[in-house]
Amino acid sequence: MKLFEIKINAGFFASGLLALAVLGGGCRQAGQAGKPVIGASMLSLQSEFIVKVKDAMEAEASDRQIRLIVNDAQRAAVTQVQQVESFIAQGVDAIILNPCEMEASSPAVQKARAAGIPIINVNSETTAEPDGFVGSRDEESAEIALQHIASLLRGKGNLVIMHGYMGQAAQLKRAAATKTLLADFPEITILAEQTAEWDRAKAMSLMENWIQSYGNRIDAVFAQNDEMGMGALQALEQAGLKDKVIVVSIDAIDDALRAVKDGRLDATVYQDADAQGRQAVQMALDFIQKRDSVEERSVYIPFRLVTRGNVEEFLK
Amino acid sequence: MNMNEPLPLVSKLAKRNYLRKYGMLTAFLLICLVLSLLTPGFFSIQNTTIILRQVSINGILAIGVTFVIISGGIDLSLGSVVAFTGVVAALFAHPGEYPLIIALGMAILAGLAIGGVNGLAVTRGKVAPFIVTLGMMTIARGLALLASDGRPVTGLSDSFNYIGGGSVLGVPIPVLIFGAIILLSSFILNKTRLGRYLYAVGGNEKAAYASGIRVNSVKVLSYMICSGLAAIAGIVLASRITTGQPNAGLAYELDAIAAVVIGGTSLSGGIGSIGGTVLGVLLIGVINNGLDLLNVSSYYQQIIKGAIIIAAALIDRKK
Amino acid sequence: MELLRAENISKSFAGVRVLDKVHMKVDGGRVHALIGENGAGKSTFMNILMGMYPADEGTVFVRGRPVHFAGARDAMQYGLSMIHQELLVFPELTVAENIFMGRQPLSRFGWIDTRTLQRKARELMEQLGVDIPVAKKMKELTIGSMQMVEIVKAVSNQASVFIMDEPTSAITQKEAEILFRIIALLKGQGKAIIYISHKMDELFRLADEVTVLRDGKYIGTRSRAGLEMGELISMIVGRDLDKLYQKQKTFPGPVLLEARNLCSEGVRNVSLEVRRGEVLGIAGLMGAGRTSLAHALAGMEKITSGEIRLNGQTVSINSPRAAKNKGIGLVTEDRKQWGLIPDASVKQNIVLRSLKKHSRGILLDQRREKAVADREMERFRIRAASRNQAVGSLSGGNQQKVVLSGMQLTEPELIILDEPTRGIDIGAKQEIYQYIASLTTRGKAVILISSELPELLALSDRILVMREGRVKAEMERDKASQELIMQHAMAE
Repeated sequence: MKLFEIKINAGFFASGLLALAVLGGGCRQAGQAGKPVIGASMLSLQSEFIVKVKDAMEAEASDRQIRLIVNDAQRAAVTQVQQVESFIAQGVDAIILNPCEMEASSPAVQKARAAGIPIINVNSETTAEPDGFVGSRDEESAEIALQHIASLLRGKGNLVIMHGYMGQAAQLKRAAATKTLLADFPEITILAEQTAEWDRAKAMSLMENWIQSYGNRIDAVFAQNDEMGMGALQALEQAGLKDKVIVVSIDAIDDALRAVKDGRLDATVYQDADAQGRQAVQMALDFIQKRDSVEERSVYIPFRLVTRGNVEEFLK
Repeated sequence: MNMNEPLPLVSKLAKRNYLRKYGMLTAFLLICLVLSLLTPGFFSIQNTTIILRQVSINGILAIGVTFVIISGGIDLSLGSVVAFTGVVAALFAHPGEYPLIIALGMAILAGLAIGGVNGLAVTRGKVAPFIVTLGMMTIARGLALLASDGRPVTGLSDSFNYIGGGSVLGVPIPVLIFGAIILLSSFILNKTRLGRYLYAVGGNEKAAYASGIRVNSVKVLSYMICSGLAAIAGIVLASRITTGQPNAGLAYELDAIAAVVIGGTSLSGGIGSIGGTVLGVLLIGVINNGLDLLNVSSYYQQIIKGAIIIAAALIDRKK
Repeated sequence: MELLRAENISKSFAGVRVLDKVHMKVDGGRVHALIGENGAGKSTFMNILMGMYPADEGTVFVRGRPVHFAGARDAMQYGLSMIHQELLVFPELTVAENIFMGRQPLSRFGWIDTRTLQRKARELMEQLGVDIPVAKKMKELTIGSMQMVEIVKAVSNQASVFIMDEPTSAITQKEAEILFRIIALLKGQGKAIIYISHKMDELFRLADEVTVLRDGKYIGTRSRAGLEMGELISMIVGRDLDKLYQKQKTFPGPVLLEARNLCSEGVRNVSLEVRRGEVLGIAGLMGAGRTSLAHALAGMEKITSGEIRLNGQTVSINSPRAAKNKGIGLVTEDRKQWGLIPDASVKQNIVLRSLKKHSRGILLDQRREKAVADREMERFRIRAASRNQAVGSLSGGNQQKVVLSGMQLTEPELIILDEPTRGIDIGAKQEIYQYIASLTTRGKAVILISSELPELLALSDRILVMREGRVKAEMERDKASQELIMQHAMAE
C-alpha cells in the first residue's frame, strides 16, 4: 500500500516536472530529462514471440538508461503509422519499428526519415528503406527446417505443409524458401498444403483430416510455426502415428522446446528474440549518439536448429 | 373444412416450415453424399468421429448463442470468452496445484459472470446487445491477455488434458460433452417454462412483458447460459490444445452465429431450435472436413463456406 | 358508367377455396361498399383486382374490356388504386416526394426539381381541398394525413377506381370527416370508390351499393335505398343475430378497485371506483388518457403519485406481473404490439400468461396445455386450423379472442378491456359482448374503454369521460347519451 502511494507520488512529481519543462519552452519535450527516448511500435503484443522481443528491448533499455515507449499496433498498419506520427510529434530521439506489413507500414518509415529521426526496423522489413535493420532472414528459418526434414527422410518421402495466415510476409517468405529448397530434393513429394492460420486448434483439425485422407502415406510435416506444429503433433499422437511421422516447425516457443526435449517434436528452429530486441535498442542508441557515422546498418541474427541434442541451452 | 382465409396462410406456413426444417436436412444429406462419392475416406466411422470432435467446440458455442438469439439478442463476445475462460482454466490446471474441479469451476464462474454483465448491460443499461457484446469482445480478450500475461499458459495436468484428448468407449470426450449439452438444451427450450419464456421474449418482448413474464431476468439468463457454455467450450479448447491461449478463439462467434442461422433460427428472435443449430454446426463441420480431404485450396474454401451460408439464408426466406 | 366489373372470380390456396365465384360491378360516381366478416375473402378479392394474385377462374373487366394484371403496377396503369390499411409510405421523405415517388418531375439538367415537385403537390392538395404541408416529412404526419397523402398520390396517378381498405380504422373523427368530404368530391368527379369497412354507420352514410361476401362466397349486392340494418347483418353473419347490443340487468356488488388521485404519464389526478358485477365505461377522444389510465392500473406504466386500493387495501402495482398476481387482467388496445407472440402457436399464446399455473414446477405440462387450449378454443369459438397454428395468421377477431382467453386464464377479478372490438367483425363482436356480460354475472368488475359510443352506452353501467388526462364527467347509463359524452369529451 505504502509502496503504491510512493509510486503515485513519483508519477505525479514526474508529470509536474514535464509540465514545467513544457512551460519553460524547451525545444524537445520528450528528451528533457537528459535520458534519450526511443519510441517503439510493435506488430502485436498478443504474439508470444513479439512479446519476447519487447521484453528484450525493455531489458536493454533499462541497462542503458534509455526511456523506451512501447506501443502495440495490434496488427494494423494504419495504427502503426499513426503511432509513429505521434512519436515524431513527441520528438523522440529514435524509433524502433516492428512492421505490421511490408507495404502498408512503409509510410511510417518515410515519415520518420523525413522528420530526421532515425528509424530501425526490427524482425521484419518494409519496402521503404529504414536507417537500420535488425532481424533475421525469414527464408533462412524454412531452409533450416526443411534441410533437417530432408536429411531425416534421406531425401525421399511424402511431405505435408501447414501455412500461416495466407498473404502475410512470414508465410510468403517461408513458402518461397520451401519451394526453392525442395527443388534440390526431387524425391520429396508435397502431398498437400493448406493454411491453419498460425492456430493450434485449426492445425489439429487439419492434421486429423489429412490423416484421414492420406493415412500412412505421410512421412513428414512441416509447419510454418510451432503453434501449428504442436497441433499437428497432438493430432498425430492421438492417431498413434507419431512414431512414423517427422514434425518440424519454427519459432522455438516454450511448449515446442519442451516437446523437443521429451522427444515428441523432432525439431524446431530458434529465432533469437532476445538478440533481436537488444540489438535493435543498441543500434537505435548508436544512431542517437553517432548520427550518420553508424557503420553497421543491418544486422542479421542467424536462426538456429533446435533438436534433442542441443535443446538444453534454449530451455531456461 | 370451412372456407375462411387463414387456411391458405396456414398451409403456406406449413410449407415454409417444411422447407425450413427439411430443406436444410436435404442439403446436408446431399453434401454428405457428394463428399462420400468424391473422397474414399469420408464415409467411415473414424472420419465421423473426427468430424464430431472437430465440431464439438463450435457446436457448444452455437447452442449457447442459440439461446441468446431466440430471446432476441446477439452475442459477439463468444470467441474472446472462449480465450479468457480457457486461460482461467489453464491457470488453475497446473499439475498438483488444485483439484480439476477448481479449474473447471473457476472457468465456468468466469463465463457466467461475463454473461451476467452482458445481460445486465442489455436489460438495466438498455444498451443494444450488439454494442454491449462488441465491447465485451474486447474486454474479455484484454482479460485473457492480462490473466496470461500475453503468453500461452502451458504445462497443464494430464487429467485436464484428458478432457479434450481422451475418449470413453471410442467416443471422444468433447463429443460426449457436446451431446450432453444438446440434450440438456433441447430439454430446457422445449420442456421448461424458461424455454417457453425465451421464445416469448424473442417473439414479442412487449407482449411477454405485458403477460407478466420477468423479461429482464429471462434475458440475463440467456446471456449467462450462452457465456457459461462458452466457458465449457473454452475448457474443451484449452484442454484439446493443452494450453490456455489468450489469442485463441478469434472470430469463433461468427462461425457459431453462422451455424445458428443455417439452422433456421431467426436473427430477429422467437424462432429457432437446437436441432437446427446442430444441423448447421454439422454442415459447417462436414464442409470443412470434406474440403480438407479434397485438398481444396483455402482460398476456395472461404468462398464455398460463404456461399453456403448465403444459400442457407435463401432457403430460409423461400416461401 | 361501368368502370370495373369482376365476374366469377375464384381462388384457392393450397386446395382450399377462399373465393368462390364472386361478382362485383362498380360504376363511376358511386361508392360501392364491400363488407363481410374478417376472413370472408375481401382482402383476397381486392388483391386479385389489384393484380397481386392471379385468379384461378373468372375475369376482370375495366371499362368493359377484359384485363389481366401481372401486378399492382399494371392495375395502376388501368386507373385502379388501393389505399392500404397498413400504409406503405417512405417516412423519411417529404409529402411531395411521397406523392411523386418513382415519377418525379426532372429539371432540364436531369436532377429532381424540388420546387416544381412541391408546387405540383400543392396544386393537387388544393384540388382536393386538403391542407397538408408538402415539405414536411411523412413521419411527422398523423395516420389520417398520411392516408390523405396516399389518396392525393392516387389522384395524381390518374386513378379512376379507388379501393379503400378500412380507411377510418386508425384516424380521428375529424380526419374521417375530411376523408368523407374527399370521397364525395371524387364521387362528384365521376370516380368510383370501393369502400371496405366494418363500421355500419359509415356504410349507411357513404355507400350507394353494398356487396356482401361470406366465407368466400358472393352473398349479394343491395342498393342503399331500402336496405335495413337487420337484413345487412344477417347477410353478413348468415344467421339472425339477436339485437346487436343487448344488456342484461346487473347487480353491482361491493367496491373492488378504488383509485385516488392517480397520476402517471398521460394521467392527471384520476379518481375512480369499480364495483364487482359492474361495467365501468370510459369514453374520450384519442389521446385523452384512457389507454394511459388502463396501463397505469395494470402495472404497465409507472404510477407517479396517488393510491390504488383493492378490496379496501392499498396495493402497489409496479409491473404487469404484480397486476396479474393481484387479479387485474388487461386486454390492450394494440394486440399486435402488446397482446400476442405472432410466431407462437394459438396454444402457446393462450397459456402464456397462466403458464405457471399450468405447469409442473419448472417443467411444462404439455398434455394439460393442450387440454386447456382445446377447451378455451371451444369456449371462445376461436377459429383456427389447429391449436398449433401460428397466431399471427389468424383473423383479427380470432386473435382478439386468443388474447381474451389468455387473460381470462389468469382468473382476474378486475378485467380492463381497451378497445376490445376494434377492427373485428360483427360475429366476433357479439361474442365479446356476451363474454363481458358473463363476467359481470360472475361478480367480476370490468373497465371498458371504447370509441364506439353505441357499444359503450349499451354495455356500461356507468361511464367516465376523459379529456387531457383527467376525468371530466361521470354519468349513470340511463342518463348518458352520445351527445352528452361528446360534449364532455371535446374541449369546452
